[in-house]
Amino acid sequence: MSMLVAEGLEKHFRIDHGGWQKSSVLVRAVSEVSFAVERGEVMTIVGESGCGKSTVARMLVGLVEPTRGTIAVDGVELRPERTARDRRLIQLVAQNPWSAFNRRRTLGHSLAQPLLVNKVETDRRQRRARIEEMVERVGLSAAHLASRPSDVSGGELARAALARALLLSPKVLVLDEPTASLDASVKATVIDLLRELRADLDLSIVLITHEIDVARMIADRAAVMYLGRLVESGAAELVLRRPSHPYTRMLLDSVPDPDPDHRELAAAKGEVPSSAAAPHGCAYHPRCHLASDECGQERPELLQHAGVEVACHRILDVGMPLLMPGSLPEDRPEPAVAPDPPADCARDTPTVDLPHPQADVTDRLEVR
Amino acid sequence: MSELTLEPGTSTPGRHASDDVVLRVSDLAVRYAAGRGAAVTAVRGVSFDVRRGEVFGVVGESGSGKSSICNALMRMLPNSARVEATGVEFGGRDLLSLTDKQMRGIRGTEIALVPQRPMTSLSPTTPVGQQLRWYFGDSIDDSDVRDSLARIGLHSVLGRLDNLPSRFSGGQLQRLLIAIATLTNRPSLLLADEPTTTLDATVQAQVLKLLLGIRDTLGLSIVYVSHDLGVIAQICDRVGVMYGGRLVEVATTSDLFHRPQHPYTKALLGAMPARWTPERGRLSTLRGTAAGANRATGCPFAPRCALADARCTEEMPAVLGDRTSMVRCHRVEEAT
Repeated sequence: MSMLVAEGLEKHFRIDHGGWQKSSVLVRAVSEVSFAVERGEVMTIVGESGCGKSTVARMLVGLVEPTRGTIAVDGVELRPERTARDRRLIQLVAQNPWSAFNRRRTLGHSLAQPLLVNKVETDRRQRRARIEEMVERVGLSAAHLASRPSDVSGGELARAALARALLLSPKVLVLDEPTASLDASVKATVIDLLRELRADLDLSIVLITHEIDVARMIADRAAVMYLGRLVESGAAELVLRRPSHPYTRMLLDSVPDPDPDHRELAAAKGEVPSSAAAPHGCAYHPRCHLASDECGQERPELLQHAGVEVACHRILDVGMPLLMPGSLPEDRPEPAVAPDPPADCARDTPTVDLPHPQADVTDRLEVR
Repeated sequence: MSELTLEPGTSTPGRHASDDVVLRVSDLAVRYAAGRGAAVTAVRGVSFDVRRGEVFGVVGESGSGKSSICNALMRMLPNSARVEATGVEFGGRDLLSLTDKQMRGIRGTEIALVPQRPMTSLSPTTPVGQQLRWYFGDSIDDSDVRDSLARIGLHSVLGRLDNLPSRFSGGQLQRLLIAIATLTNRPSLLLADEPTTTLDATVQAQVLKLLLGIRDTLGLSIVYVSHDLGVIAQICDRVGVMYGGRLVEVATTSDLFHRPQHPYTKALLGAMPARWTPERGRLSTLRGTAAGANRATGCPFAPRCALADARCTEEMPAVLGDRTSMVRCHRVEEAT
C-alpha cells in the first residue's frame, strides 16, 4: 500500500477585481492531479512558476483546502478539516527559511513549539533532549538553539526548518523548494543532508522544485506540471533524463549546461500563459512545435507510453526519448526500464538537439 | 541611424574579443559605513579589464561583493558608501574623477545597466508606452523602431502600450528593460546584474539569446554578474571569481571550467549538482560559510580551504598572472 495517495486533486481560486462591475476570474490552479508515493520513496514535482506545484504542496499539508479530490496517508483519508493527528503525519518545510521562523525568539523556542502544541513531549527535560538530538541529526549543534534566526546563516536556518518538521516523526515530508534560496556551496551540504535523511529515516518525501539537477540527484520518481496539470510522470531516470512530453523536453533543454564546450541556448517559444486564461485543448499547444488541430481542441489524457505516463496527442511523432546533454555519465548503465521506441520513430539514434523551428525570437532584428 | 541587422545570438568564445580595452578597473575598493565610525569592506583590491565585444562574467556567492562592483561603476551607491581605486578607466576617462554632472552624461548613455528585478525597475503607476517615450522619444512612433522592438519579442507589449508594468510578465519586462538600456543610446558597456535570476528557465534562455544577439550587432561589452555557473558557462568569454570581496581568479571560460586554479573555484565547480555522479557519494566539498571573509587579513578563503597554512591566514596572496588571466593563491602549485 502506498504511503501517500493523492486522487483527483483540484484547486480553483476566485480572484475578485472589485470595482463597479464586480468582475471576477476563476483561476484553475490545479486540475486532476493524482499520484502515489511509496514508503521511503522521493517523488519530485517539477515545473515553472505558476504551474501549481506549490499549491499541490499546500493542499497536501492542509494549508489550502482542495476544491475536489482526496489525500490519504498510510491508507487513512485525511479530511479537509485536519485533526492534530492528521497534521503530524504530513509535515511541510517551507520555501524561504528566513520567513519560516519567529525572528524575535530563539531557534530553541521555535523548535519546541510543535512538541508543545501537539502535546507530544510534555516533560521539559525530555523535550530538550529530543530537540538536541534532532538538531545534531541535521548537522547543527545544541549551541544553535540559543541563537535567533538573524544570528545564523541561511544554510543553518534551512537545517533548523528541516529539524522542526522531523521532530513530530511524520510519515510524509513535503519540501517546497528546499534549496532555491541557498548559495551553491551551502546548497550542496543541504542536498547531502536530504539524501542521508532519506536513507536513514525511511521517509516518504514530496520534493517541489524548479531545479532539475537537484531533482535528478534526490528523486526516485518525477512528475512534470504545466498550467495546473500533470503532463508526464514516471521513474525519475526516464522523466528527468529521457523525457517524452514535448514540454518536459523543452524544460530540460533550457537548463543551461555548465560546460563551455557545449554551448547551445535552447530558446523556448513564448511564455507560460496565465492560468486564468489557459489555452483550450492541450494547454501547451501554443508553444509546441508538434501541435496539430486536435491539440487545440481536445485535452490529451495521461496514457502509458514507453514506461511513463504522458498526456500528449502527438506522442508517437515526438521521436525517441532524448538523452539530455550532461545528464547521464557515459560509464553508467542504461536505465533499467528501457523505453520502447515508438512505431513510427522519426530518428533512430538518440540526439541532443531538439528541433524548434519557430523557437528563435531574435532571428533578425533591424534597428534603423 | 545607420542600418543594422541583428543576427541570431551566438556564443562563440572570444569571437569579438580584441585587444582594445573598454573598461580597465584597477585596485577597486568599496566600503559601507556601518554606524559609529565603523565600516564594512564589501570589495577590496579588485582589478580587471573588459575588452570590446567581450562578455566578462563575475561569479560569486551572496555577499561576495559582485553587485557592489556594478553599483560602484554606475556610481549608484548610497551616500554612506566610499569607493576608492587606483583608476577606473572607461573610454579614455577616469570614472572616479568625474563630477556627478559628468557622470550623469555617461550613466545610461555610454554605460547601461540591466537590473536584477525587472518587476521593480519601472514606474509602477505609468503606462509602459509613456515610459518607452521617456527613453525613445517620439521615435517610438516610427515603424522601424516598432519593428525592431517587435523582433526582440516585445510584440505583445507594443499591442498594450496603455497597460501598467504589473500587467506584463517578468520576461516581457526584462526584454523591455534590455531594449531601453541598449537600443536608445547604443552604450559601449552594459552591466547586467543577475538579469535572469527571477525568470523561469525557458524564458531565461530567450533573454540570454537576446543579450548575445545585441552584443554581436552593437559590438557591446557586457559585464555579466551571476551566481549561476550554468549561465556563465553558456555566455561568457572570460570569468572573474569573487570571494569575500576579492577577485581570486580570472580566466577564460574554458580554462576556468576545465582547468580551475584556485581552491575556491574548484570547490564551487565540484558543488554543482550537474557534475555529480552516484559513485561520488557526497556532493558538498566545502564546510562552513563565507561569513566574515570580507574582514580577513590574509586570503579570504583560508578558513575553509583544505590547503591553507599559516601564511594564508596572515597575508593576502599576490596576483599570479596578468590582467587577462590570474589567480591569487599561495598554494596554487599544490592546488593544481
